[in-house]
Amino acid sequence: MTLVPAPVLHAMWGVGLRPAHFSHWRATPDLPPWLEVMADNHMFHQGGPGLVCLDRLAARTGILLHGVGLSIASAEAPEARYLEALRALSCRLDAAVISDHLCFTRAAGRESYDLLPIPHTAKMLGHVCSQVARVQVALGEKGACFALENVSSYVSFSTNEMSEMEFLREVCTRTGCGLLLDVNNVYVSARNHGFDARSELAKVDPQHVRQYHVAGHSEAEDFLHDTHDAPVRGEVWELLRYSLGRTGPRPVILERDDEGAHAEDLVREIREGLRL
Amino acid sequence: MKHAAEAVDAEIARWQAEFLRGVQSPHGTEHELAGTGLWSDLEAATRHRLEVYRTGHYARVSYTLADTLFERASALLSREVMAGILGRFFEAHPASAPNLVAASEGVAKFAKMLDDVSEHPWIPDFLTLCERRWAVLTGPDPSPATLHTAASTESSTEAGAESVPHPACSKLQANHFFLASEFAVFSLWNAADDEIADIPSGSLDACVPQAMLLFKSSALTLENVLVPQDFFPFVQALSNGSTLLDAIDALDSQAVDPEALDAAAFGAFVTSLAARGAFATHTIR
Repeated sequence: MTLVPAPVLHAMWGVGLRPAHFSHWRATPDLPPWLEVMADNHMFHQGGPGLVCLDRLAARTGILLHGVGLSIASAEAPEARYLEALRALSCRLDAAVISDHLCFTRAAGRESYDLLPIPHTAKMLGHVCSQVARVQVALGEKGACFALENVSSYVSFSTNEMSEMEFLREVCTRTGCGLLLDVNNVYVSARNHGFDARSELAKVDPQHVRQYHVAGHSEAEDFLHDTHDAPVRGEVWELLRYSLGRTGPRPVILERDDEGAHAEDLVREIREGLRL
Repeated sequence: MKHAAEAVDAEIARWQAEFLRGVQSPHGTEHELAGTGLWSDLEAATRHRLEVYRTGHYARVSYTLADTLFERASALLSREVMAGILGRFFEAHPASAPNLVAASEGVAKFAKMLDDVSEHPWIPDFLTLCERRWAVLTGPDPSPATLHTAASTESSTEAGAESVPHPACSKLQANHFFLASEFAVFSLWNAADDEIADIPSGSLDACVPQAMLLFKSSALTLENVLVPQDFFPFVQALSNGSTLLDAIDALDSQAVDPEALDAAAFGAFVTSLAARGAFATHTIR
């Protein structure tokens, strides 16, 4: 299948849309240039207030769709029902990017609901590329909008043959898939596994980057935990600025899963972080 | 070539199944995985962090739903108790659906078998109510073209006529749920609402039969109707797919004393259902 490259999205920012903020965004006259919708929270709904809210927001601003349940690296093929629901929601909202994670969430017919890491080997690379091609076909006209995100990881495989960014660069090169570059995840994994975050970012092909994520993390006993419940650390903003310098402007989305966080605070935080 | 690809898939399936077994183990990842191929494939210095995934898994399946789908149950029972029920459910029934809400189907039935829940026999019905409310709310929206409201009926009937739809061609909306419980689920639901909160749950007599009919009057509005006990058979017949006419007949045939039925109250109840958009018109073939 030949993919028509998705257009590059320039110079903008946004936040992850959380149900706690629905009423705020509906009421506010100034929406961020992008809102990122958690696909799994809505794609199996047939109706209801959540979809109505998304329709109204999509009429007013750009929508990016982000999922957690695709399980692109599972041994088994992505579920047809899941892919169809994802395609339908992406068309409904005219999502500019449809992303999920380089990980597996499902094995032997069971779901973990977590982003489980994979070894970065040539065998795994071939497998992931096949899976990405399946997803692109299933997404139809939206296939070119598909992007994979690097994850935070806590364990590493002694069988690794390449780094995560080298792995993703190959996936993107071979399939035409985009990269959702989560700078916080690079920072967290770098600290957890003892590599240099900036050197890892330097391995990214700037042309592959469709979108960025930034988020906060917390410190555990001997590792960093990607908890999305704290402000973005200064080191992560610095890494983002470094990477933006290589790629040029792309949508940067602040992710925050802390129920107590106010939408206005998130807007202030990302605008300050990006020095807008 | 095909055999080589199948071998790769089998190898991936093998270590991923081991990984997930460790993540979902009630005994801990090292207990579950030490000596496996996956264990030796992991950097020794990072193996202990598999526990992050295990604790994350249990937190996700229990607290995510305790805070969303079963939020009202958490308000009545406490978040920890509700999360505990969910944790035990997923330990006994590992999730196989990518959608966590779908994977939790059966929690109410499971709760009936728990010793500590049996002291509060209303809990399973209340959990059913939580599940079904969500299902109705996120189910198909009523179609304005077929939705029978008082306003639409009034416009099509002569002035002074009762604002109820035509009984022979009206049914309950397909997307609805009727719960007839031996317990006071309706009152308990309201008691768990922070915004109502004028009914202290401790003072409630939970052992009062109540029934609720749930449906949507629009994409945004879920209707919760308390069904008077005398009308349970009527609403049950509607819920089973009867037309309004057939359900009225069912009420007559099932009433202990048809003469004792309060016709005015019944008329007001049906009118109220119609006004809230419970009925959809269907074509008689």
